[in-house]
Amino acid sequence: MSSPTVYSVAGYGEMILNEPRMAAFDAALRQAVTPGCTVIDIGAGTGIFCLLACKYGAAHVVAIEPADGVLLLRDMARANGFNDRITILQGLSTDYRPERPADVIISDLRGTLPLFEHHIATIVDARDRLLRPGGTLIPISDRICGALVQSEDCGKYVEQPWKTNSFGLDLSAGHRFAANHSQKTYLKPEALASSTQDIAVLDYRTITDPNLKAKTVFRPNRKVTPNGLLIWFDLTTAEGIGFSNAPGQPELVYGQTFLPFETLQSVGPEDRIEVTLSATLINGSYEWSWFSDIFRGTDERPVARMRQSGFKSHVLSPARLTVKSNAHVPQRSAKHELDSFILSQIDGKRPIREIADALSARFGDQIETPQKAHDLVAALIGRYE
Amino acid sequence: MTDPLTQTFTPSPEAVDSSVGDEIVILHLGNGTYYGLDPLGTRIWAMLKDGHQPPAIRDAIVAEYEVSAEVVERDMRAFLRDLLAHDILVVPPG
Repeated sequence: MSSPTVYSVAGYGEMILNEPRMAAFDAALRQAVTPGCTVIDIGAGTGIFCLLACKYGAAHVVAIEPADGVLLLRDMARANGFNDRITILQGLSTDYRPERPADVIISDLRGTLPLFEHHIATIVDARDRLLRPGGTLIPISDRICGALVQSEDCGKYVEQPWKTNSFGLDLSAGHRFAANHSQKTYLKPEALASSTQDIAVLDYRTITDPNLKAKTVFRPNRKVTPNGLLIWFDLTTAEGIGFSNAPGQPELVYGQTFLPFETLQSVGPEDRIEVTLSATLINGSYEWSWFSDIFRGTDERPVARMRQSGFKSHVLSPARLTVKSNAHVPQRSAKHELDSFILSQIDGKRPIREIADALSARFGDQIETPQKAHDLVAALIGRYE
Repeated sequence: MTDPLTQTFTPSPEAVDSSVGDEIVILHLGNGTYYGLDPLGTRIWAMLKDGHQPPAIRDAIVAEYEVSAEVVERDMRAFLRDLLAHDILVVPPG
């Protein structure tokens, strides 16, 4: 599983100040919390939702967060008189085994889109295992929306420097990789080249599948040459409460996602572009693909087909991928010997200093300085702790 | 077991590929498997994507690489079975 994303304290602060995000979560929490209830905050960050839950009367709040930033909640809970009601668990909610389920579970685990890392699996696990029957999930759903866009600024990275550059060099080999690279952006309504279409709804009260595959038809709103697709989410924290991340709405920390088109075609209101958008969770991160067919008028055969994927934006070495194959036979190297030795020295009694000294004594021909020995030991141990 | 050289195949719609030089990496979006192809495998994959079938591919490889048909058929059978096992190649409906 990949490591969860880590934010800076300044980043957390930006999220707390971001409106209408906080107002929507705050209103849903105020409505859901009843005196004496238990609340779990998954991905608590520095704990703003936990503090609010206490303020609204929760008797017990569990802050679950793998990053060190959650330790800041200790001071803030004390400063607000909530330290006897907040329990901090630094780790993953999937490892949490409470004595009884919670009344309310709140989370905001998205990236630019709600299909992000293990968000869906985390919500499913929490809903099924940590929430009492009839309990409240916040948020309850996300609607993924999209539109065609024509934005020179947004799509510049696709064309430059690969197709045009000031050096007179042929860099065109990079173009097809750039054309498959999605970008976080924030566009205004003027960039839209079609009306907004609903792509999918993620209802957290019932969802089980972390993957998405949906076909959407976009019709240009004028004669235009769209250079990509823009997707964003509309969030519902509780019935009748939420916010939209759409162009024209207040700019939020999440941004929107721009998916470029690798070929540019002029289209008009009589034409249509059918896009099959898929998001597949692989090894803890999503691979996005967008397969687009351009149709003229009522024609059934497309005039252009594009098969694009974030996977195609990466320059990958088959040789490097081979080592991950089930059939690959790894060979023991000097690095393996160093790591094996370090691990063999861990007995619950020796400090890093002693292990590093033993490493230097054994592998002095490979490790130039005591500092390097210390760094190697600390780095390897850090992977386990 | 059916001889893959006598079957009709098409690349899975779930398979996306990315090439660097004369090698290709394929990702199967459905099962998350990465598959790397050497230059010969890349050549065969390109012909499959163009709609060519195993008999024609075999003939082209024999001509291009000046290798005996027996060797090419043996290697192609193993290669095609591997792609089928990973669902990177599928038998088209109908």
